[in-house]
Amino acid sequence: MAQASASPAGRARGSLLTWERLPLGLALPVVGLLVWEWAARAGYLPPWQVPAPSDIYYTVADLLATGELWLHIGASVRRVLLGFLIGGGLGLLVGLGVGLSKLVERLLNATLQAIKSVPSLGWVPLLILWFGIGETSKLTLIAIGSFFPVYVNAVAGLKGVERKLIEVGQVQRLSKGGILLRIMVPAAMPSFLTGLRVGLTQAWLFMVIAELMAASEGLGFLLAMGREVARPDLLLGSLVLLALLGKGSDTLVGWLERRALRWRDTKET
Amino acid sequence: MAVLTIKGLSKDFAGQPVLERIDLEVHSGEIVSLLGPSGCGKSTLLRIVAGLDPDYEGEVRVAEGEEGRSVGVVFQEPRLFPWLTVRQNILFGNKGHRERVEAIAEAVGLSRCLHAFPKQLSGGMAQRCAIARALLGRPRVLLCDEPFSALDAFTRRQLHDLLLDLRDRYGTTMLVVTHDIREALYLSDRIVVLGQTPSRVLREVTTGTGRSENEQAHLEAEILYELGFEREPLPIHVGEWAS
Repeated sequence: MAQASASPAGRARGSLLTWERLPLGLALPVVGLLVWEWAARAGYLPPWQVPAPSDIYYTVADLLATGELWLHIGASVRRVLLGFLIGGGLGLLVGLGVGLSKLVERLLNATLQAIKSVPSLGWVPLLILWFGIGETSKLTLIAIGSFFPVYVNAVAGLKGVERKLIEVGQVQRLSKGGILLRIMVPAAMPSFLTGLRVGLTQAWLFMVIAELMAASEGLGFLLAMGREVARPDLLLGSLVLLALLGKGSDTLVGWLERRALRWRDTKET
Repeated sequence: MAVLTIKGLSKDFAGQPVLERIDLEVHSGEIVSLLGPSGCGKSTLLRIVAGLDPDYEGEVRVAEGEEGRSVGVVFQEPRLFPWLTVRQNILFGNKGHRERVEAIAEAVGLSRCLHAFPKQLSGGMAQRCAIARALLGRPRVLLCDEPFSALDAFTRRQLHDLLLDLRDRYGTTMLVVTHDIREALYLSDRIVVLGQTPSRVLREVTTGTGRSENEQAHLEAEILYELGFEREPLPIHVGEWAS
């Protein structure tokens, strides 16, 4: 490899790679922003509905300067992480039980499938009735949202472990526990990670919903307030922040996933 | 000394008999091939000996290994764990034998790839790794279930020679399932021919080295005839080709 990159052909390939690595994904947003800014300033867009990107930027910057924005971001991130930890953790745990034990599967699977069929938002009124509009109902909603993707993927991953690999464990005289820990769990790891990634995305989604219902802080609260006081700059600013945070957390988990699954023989690696 | 003894082994799948009263003895240091047409139950027999199929009638006895392990298995596919390196794969289920890894890797020709992942290995290399994993615990019998049928002819020949080398080096007893007569003739000291299901032992042929090409060819024709594939072979007249 080192030799190849020293050769002229290698250099050519290297420069091609840097060209390919240009953040092409940014092109569309940048061009879009420029056009938008121009249209807003030229008066083609009604400012009480679509403010210029620069106005949105100043609004966000002001909130940042007063430190108020950090309060909201902190509250939202805390809810996402806590809810995801509870929901994803339980999903992984129950998924392991159902995926590994026929008895637990027969006991739980039908019920969980039925609960899964309830559209998740349907829980909102019940949660409010039970837990009020405080933190508990919000966290519960986020936990429900992230539970199912993690659970479903964990079960599918464990069920999908090749019998051929398990047989190797048997002829190599591994105990049941050994087969579980050293064959089933690593073999199902790609599915576990897919589940966690989808679960985290769900957690962001349900956090916004929970905060839209009733909250005194958080990005969802900013959205709700932006609507009430007719501040489109606040609304759009919050949406941009949500997009950035969601994308950021997904990129982080994706990076962890690629690191943990380097052994996979796929096109990506 | 018999390392593996099978007496009156019968097996059926949902009432359909697959194996019928099979008797077989494999002696220490011997390579025995189980030869038969596809679907004749030879792999089933091997799985029973490997302990992967406890549902059978009859008696299967494997001598205790010096170190507890009595059988090692090489499957048709390498069945390596993709998340483990070659070294970790060889050590899988062989925790107590760390100090032997280098030697076995050298013996199967994998010394230079111990840190590679399975996705970086060719088919032949992967099968070498599987052989090393099966042998590291020094089993009394190495069971091979059509171990080379997915490989090209050149690689297959290399691995035949590898098995013979390993037998010379470690004195390993081997039971090899195959549907390739040439493979059986090349590898084994004895060939056990199984017929169509429900299969019985049709014939046992002692091969051994020192046979002429003609005798090999004749043996091949005889076995094919036994299995009902070809016309009766012409009797050999020694000396006819001599001039």
